[in-house]
Amino acid sequence: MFLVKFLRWIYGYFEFCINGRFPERFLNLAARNGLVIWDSSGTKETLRAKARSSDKNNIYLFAQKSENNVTIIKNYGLPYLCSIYKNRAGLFCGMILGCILCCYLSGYIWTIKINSPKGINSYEIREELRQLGFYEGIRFSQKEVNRVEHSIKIQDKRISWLNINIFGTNAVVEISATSGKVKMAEENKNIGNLKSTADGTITKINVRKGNSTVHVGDGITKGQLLVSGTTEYSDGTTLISDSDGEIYAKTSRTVVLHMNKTYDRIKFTENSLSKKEINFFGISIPITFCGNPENNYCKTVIRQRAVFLQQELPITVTEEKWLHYNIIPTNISKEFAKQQLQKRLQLYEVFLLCSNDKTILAKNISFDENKNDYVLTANYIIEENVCEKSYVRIKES
Amino acid sequence: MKTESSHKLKEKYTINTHNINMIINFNREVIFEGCKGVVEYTDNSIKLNTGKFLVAFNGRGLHIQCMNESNIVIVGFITSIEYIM
Repeated sequence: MFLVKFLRWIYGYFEFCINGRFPERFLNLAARNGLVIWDSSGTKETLRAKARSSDKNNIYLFAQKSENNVTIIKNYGLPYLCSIYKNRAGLFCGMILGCILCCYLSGYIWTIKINSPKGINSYEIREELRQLGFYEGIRFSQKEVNRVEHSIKIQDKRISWLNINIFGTNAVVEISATSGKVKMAEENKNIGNLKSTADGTITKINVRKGNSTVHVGDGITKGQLLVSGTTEYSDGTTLISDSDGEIYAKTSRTVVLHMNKTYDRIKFTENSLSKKEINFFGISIPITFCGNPENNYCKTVIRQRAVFLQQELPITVTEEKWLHYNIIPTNISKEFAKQQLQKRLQLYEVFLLCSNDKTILAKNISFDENKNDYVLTANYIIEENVCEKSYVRIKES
Repeated sequence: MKTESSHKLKEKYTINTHNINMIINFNREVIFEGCKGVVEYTDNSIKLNTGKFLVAFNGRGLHIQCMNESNIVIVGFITSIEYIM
């Protein structure tokens, strides 16, 4: 029904009134001659109805034949509207210009939506796309889109696949991140020796596989063979197998922590500057007229996009806030430095002892002061497992 | 005349005599096929010529929604249908 009404509106129609002794005659004449009449309502000697604008002459003719008078009550539809405004050439020019402008602007990209996966910031991608020449307000070209897709894949190693889908004037960027590093093919880990990771004195030996080459109380150096996977028999044959076990040794370790006597503290002042601009269909219009301040200013940028019915519009308000700061050299007291360095040392011990096979046997802490910094030196004696697997490469000949 | 008693709200009657079809939707609308002309057209009564007899629709607020050479749609509150031979 809507379509019928719409078509009637497009072609135009009018409402008329028939006055006379026999309006029924007019109806019959009209029906026999194929005139379409609708919404008729009749009282005695009066009939109101609607008909197409193109049938107006016939209506007059049949009304005359049936000895009735016709009165046009109202005209409806597009032709009627056009006839009202036919003298206003500017209106039609505006319509045509509007259509041309609409067609022209629809060739541009006005919004870019980035669907980035976890771990990739959409702001970074937007900036990378901008550097490659793909931003709001550029003219759409499939060739250009392909180039950008290709370039960004090469430029950003985090991206394994990127696709730019164009929907009208909207560009939707779909990104797929690269998976983790591909593991190298595993080595043959069946045969290997155990080597020392630090200098020290052996306190405990627990060998499950292989032949131990050291004894309790022996001094060892870093990289020394501790457990061998090869066994030589008296008949001259050699068996090569894996080695496994733990060898504990007393090792010493020295940690030196430094802290400068002075440091630069950044203090923000109340001086600040705000710059705003509107980006409208790719054109930047500054609202605040001032230059960028120099020295000791840092800026934050806030970009807000206009949204209408969950659809981003090509209107962006950019606000730059410039905050002034002073660099104040600050001296650190000896007590404060000692406290801070001890806290750092405690943290170090927590990480040092987080593996179960390490025990601190003794420690000696000394705190000194140099010309420029404070120094905290800690000497540790630790009992730890010093074994490290070293795989043997066997080449067949 | 056939009556479909299952339709309580929308009763439908069909008459088929000498290429005349009449579909009545309850008492609100009549689709008439085989009409040869309108004899009388007022707010309370519409009389149609079928060639062999006249059919009069009586009621309130009756009007012709649309019509062409042989078909006519009458809308309104129909209280009676009369056949005038």
